[in-house]
Amino acid sequence: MSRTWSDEQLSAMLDGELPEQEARALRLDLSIDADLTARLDRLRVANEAFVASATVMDNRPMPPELARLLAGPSGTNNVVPFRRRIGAAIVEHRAIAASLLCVAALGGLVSLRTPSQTPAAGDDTQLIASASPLGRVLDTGISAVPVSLPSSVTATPRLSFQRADGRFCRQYRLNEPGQTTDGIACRDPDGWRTELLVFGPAAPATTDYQSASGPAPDLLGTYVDQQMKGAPLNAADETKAIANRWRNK
Amino acid sequence: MAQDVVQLHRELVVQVPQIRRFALALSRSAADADDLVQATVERVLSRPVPEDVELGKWMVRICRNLWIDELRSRKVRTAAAPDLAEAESQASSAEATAIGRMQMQRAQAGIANLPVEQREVLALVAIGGMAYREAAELLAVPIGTVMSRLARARASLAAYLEAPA
Repeated sequence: MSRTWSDEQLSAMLDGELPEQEARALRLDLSIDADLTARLDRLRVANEAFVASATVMDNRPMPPELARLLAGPSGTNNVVPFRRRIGAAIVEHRAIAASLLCVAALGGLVSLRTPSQTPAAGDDTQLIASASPLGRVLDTGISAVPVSLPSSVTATPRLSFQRADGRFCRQYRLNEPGQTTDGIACRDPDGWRTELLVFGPAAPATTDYQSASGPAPDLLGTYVDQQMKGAPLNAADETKAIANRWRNK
Repeated sequence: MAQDVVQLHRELVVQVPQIRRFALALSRSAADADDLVQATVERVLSRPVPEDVELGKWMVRICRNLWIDELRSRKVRTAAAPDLAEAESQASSAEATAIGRMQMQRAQAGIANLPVEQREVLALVAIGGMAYREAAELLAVPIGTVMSRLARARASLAAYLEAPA
């Protein structure tokens, strides 16, 4: 029979803040106590709903004043709004991802925040399920080789690299009618996690904001410059990483 | 020095989407959130960033303090709800479908009814990425208080999500 666990402890488990000894005991109890698992899952779902509710900001164009501030004194940072008009393909992946997270939670192993979490990467709504079309492209696609996905979307991995923390990341492009989306996703044990999405480039007539310095956004380049350890993977290293399922060991 | 400024701007660009979400979770108003983010960025650019801090968490801290100042100076909360509804309506219909429109509305209702103290700590930890210790320090409360507020916030929100239609 499992011991009594408080909501505080379950909540701390979700945040990865439960002391290891308690976390171990809780995992054990979760493996034999369906009610306890349901309680943990209930809190996790509430947390996900809270986080998801804030993502509406991703669909809101960035105010020009803020974009100008971010563009910097030399105007070298081309700023585009982060919007989530990514189309059915990724939304579909999200729904799958959510169901996979439920399964993980039922195993009592889910933690919403890990020690390696970066501020931009901790949102579980950004998980791309491995079983989804985009997840499969990121898992097995070769850079520069386009792959056709449902809904007239073409996905092309463009660059693979390793971050300083050892995680593999891939820059990719999604082409769909009337829109191009560039993204960077990094591999976690539970799947690819979106780090950055850039939509565009904007057509001249669009209301999307861009800084006056030029049309070509370089947010992805900035991210890669900041995060990449060493050089991008060459073809042989990328093939090896695919074969190793992007595990960093 | 000029290179440092360029680098800082680049790092800001990376952090801003997360800070915008955090600001919305705090303020419950998209317009107020962007005002908060702009003030946060201005603050970061106007003063030296301590060398030993993570920029994202530093911005979360500044943003939260600015929000507290704002709360004290005007009644942001009372005007917040309609604006959030407007922001939500801009979310793609596909996304709304994926999450579940009804579920999203329940979540919004539940979040709106959270006491500010609970919403604040949930935003700091779940969106701002703060450790309990960091949140406790910022809020000047014991870690136990952080834990209990988080648990109550999630339990309360869960009850809204489970409410019959």
